Amino acid sequence: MSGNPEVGPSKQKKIWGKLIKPADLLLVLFLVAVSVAALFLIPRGGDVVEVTLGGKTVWKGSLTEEKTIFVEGKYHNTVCVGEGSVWVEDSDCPGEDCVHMGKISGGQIACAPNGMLVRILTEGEGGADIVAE
Amino acid sequence: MWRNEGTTRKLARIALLSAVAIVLSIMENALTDLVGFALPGCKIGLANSAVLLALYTVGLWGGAFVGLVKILTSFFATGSVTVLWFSLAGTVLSVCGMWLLLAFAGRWFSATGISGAGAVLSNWGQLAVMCLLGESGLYLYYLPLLTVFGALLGSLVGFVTGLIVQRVPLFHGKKSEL
Repeated sequence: MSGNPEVGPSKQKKIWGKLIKPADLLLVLFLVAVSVAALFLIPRGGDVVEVTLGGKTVWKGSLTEEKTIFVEGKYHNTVCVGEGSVWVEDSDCPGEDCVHMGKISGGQIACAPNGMLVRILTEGEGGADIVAE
Repeated sequence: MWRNEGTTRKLARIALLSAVAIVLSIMENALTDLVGFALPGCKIGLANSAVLLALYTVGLWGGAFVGLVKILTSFFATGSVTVLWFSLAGTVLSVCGMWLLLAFAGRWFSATGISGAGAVLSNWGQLAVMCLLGESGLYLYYLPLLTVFGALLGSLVGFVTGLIVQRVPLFHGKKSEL
């Protein structure tokens, strides 16, 4: 402004200015907000349902689709997939614990008498475990 | 600032700040071992102070060079290629981010905010590498925690760097010996 090329302490102080400005706080809060918002953007459609009978995969598919699977083993389970959850609709096994598990959107439902297992696999699960050094 | 200074001066400044980065990197590695920070990838980011100073006083290439020195130092100190990828991604993102903020919005932000943003970007870059290496998006659940820590520690480092610049005559313009 003054045309003085000399860069002295006063100018220096001006450049670094106050050590904390209002915009700093906004910037940092914005970044934190973005990171929290990003959590909701993690694709949930990646979840996969796997139905196994005696260790063998009977059916595998996305949690988002609508599907009814009839599992024929020693007993009979009717597994339904829909609206982002999975449940055992009907079973002729003793106890019917699997039916009582209700709808799940994570974890697993087991029908021990039939040897049936419904699992929800989150995308990437079972992949290589890495530990940051 | 220092627009009138010659190339030699800049070179000397970069060299000095590189030395600072090396010392701080080694100190940081020792500290991380000592304190054993529970969060992997979460460091105080002391060496970022030197990168910040280089960005302020020499510009983008100064910052990039000091950043490179920082990366190589932590690589040689730990001998781990994984660490190399982590710090490469983190440093590239943070140096670019801090420079952009400084160049285009420098008048609104102080060193505190710019350093905080740089640390957050560095953590984001490292998390991205983590997701790629682990082939899993699950690590993203770690994001808010890393961001909060990065913001706090990065801002602190920036604040202290700003304090040093204000108090130490070495950084004051043409009369400086730097």
